[in-house]
Amino acid sequence: MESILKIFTLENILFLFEGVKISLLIAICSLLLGTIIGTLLASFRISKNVVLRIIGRVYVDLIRGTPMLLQLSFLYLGFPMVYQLITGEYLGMDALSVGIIGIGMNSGAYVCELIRGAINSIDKGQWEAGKSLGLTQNQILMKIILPQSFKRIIPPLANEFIVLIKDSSLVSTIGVYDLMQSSKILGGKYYNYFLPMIAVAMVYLVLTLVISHFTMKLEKRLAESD
Amino acid sequence: MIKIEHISKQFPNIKALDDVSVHIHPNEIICLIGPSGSGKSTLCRCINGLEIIDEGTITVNGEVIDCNNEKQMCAIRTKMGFVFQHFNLFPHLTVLENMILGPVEVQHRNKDEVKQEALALLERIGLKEKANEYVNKLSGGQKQRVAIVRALCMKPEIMLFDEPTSALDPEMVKEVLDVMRELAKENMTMVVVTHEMNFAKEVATRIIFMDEGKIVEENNPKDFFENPTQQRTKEFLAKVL
Repeated sequence: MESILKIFTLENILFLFEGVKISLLIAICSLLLGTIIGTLLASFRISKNVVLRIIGRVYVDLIRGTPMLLQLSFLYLGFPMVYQLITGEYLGMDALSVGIIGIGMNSGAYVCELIRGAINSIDKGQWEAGKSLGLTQNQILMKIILPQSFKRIIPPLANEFIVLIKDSSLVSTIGVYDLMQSSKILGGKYYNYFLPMIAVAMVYLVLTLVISHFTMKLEKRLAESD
Repeated sequence: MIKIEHISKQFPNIKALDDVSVHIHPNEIICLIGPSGSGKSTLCRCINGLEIIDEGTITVNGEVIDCNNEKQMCAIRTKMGFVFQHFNLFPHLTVLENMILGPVEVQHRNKDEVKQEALALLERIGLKEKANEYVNKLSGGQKQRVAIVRALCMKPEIMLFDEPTSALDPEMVKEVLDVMRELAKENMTMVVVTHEMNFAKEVATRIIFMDEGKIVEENNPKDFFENPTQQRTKEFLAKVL
């Protein structure tokens, strides 16, 4: 009891709250980035152009086939070296930006696959009907397929957000003061890792459960309008 | 108008079309009949490039169609209305939106003008009050009637029907066939894949009987049904009539 009061002072709670803000910031920004990259990649993967299809495929395989921790470390430590080797200039990147870009790029591969899945799940008769009216491939995609896929993309995208909140904790390894890192700092300060980590685990749990709850509600509403 | 010459189409385990030739003339109403898997649907789908042929040529108004040329295919398809067995209406759009999508997006026609035309068409098939409903609210027969007028909104020169009544409840077949009869009366050029023998007998100007990817026999309806010449035709008719 005594140690609880000692550790969870107002000051320290505010410190943890800063961590929550950073974690959410990373999750939100990387979801946005991931959605942009994912949409682009998905359009590559269903394109008629073989080169674009291969680029999409390689990106997705590369990202999904290697650990995100490795990707983050590479982007933070390896990439600036390569950059300097090629351009001769020093590339100064702050850890937070690297975290958002790294996790966003990773998320892009997963979002690509869920968009592609949603597009493929649309009845092929819809493509044929569009064609029979003389619409081009792109028009069919924009006017017929994507509007229908949209409903099927939203629930898994919300799920992706939950994954990102948890995965954002990896940025603590490159020195970003996110929620995870905050718990480590508090733990180190008081020689008590147990309580801060339990507290932080609870915060993560609350965040993900709340989002999961809303996702389920949304899913129900989308299903009703079918 | 449309010349189909020596076309073949191979699917992984079946030769759907085997050296088929048909010339379609303006104002003709051709009914394609035959057992399932005889290639009649494939033939119909090849005409507007929904299936890519392996051999032979299809010429539309003097132009040889090339399925890899999207621009040409789109232009040719605007002249052909296609009605699917499973309607393939767009569920995220209302009846009216389904109808005006093609004319507005493809033919770049004035939206209000197209709307007026669409409403007039809906009135003719008795579905004007459904104009702003989403298509999933309609019955099968209503859906197919909307699908027909959606195609008509493009002002096509020819209408292709791929088993338009096969997916319908028996009670709803007539309302769809009635719309097609109307079209026939207006001298629309039509190719109809169908199992409705009475309809074929009544409206067709020519019957084409197919089996195993080949045209077995073609004739005017009277001679076709009364004096079939081929043994396979006789067998088929004996079973379905």
